[in-house]
Amino acid sequence: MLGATAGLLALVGLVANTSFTWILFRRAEAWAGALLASVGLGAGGLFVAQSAAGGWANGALFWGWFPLGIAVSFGWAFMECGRYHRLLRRRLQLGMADPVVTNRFGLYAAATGLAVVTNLVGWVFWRRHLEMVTDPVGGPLLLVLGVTSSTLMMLAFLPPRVYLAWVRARAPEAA
Amino acid sequence: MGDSTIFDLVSDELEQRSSLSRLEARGTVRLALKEAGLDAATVTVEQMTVVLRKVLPRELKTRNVGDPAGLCEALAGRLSGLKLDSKIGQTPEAVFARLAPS
Repeated sequence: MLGATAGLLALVGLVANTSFTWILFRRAEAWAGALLASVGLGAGGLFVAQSAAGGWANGALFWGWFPLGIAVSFGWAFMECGRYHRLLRRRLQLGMADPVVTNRFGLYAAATGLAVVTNLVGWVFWRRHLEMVTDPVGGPLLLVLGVTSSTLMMLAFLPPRVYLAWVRARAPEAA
Repeated sequence: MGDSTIFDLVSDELEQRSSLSRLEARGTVRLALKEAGLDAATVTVEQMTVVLRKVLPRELKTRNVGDPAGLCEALAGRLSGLKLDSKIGQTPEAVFARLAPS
């Protein structure tokens, strides 16, 4: 029961994250809607298949393939935010963008990029039947990746005033 | 996504007021927008006005168009009275601006 609940929560999170990218950047484009549907239906299908097969205690089918959905979802967010960050940096030079918002896209791109890396590293450990948290390499790696990603997210969405002032101070003068 | 009315209007005016062909005029405006980090499908009047004043004159000069600054100012004047539905509140930067203090 606990395994199935974890799977369901992961599924909801994955669909929510992918929907955010879709709504934010590509809600008018058919290919993006199809990508969102593929991620949602694929993960939903995995959940149903694992539930039908049983064995949620290990959840080999679900957790073996679910990271692919995470990689697609966060990889997409990373690419869209990275692209938008580059666009806003150009607009910033002409006084058409806010330096804090521009920086926020860069931070979110970096955080989602790290999420992809963390997901892939975690998947490798899982495939090798290694417990990442207690592994002498995996544990510290997870700590560094997790803390860095959380810090980037905090600076993006809960920024201290001193950080905002620093971002504004180093923004280029509009041409 | 198709090109915006603003892009079409500026490109058409540029074609009529210069020696550039339709393809050249549209390509030049598109290049200027790209340099400014903007897109022909979503550019607003305010953004296009900045491009007309700060980027397009350079692009026109490299194409040997006479009086690029004056021409761009005239194009900006054509835009100034334009009233279009703005979707600025739905842009990614508007959403990200609302998600946290700036």
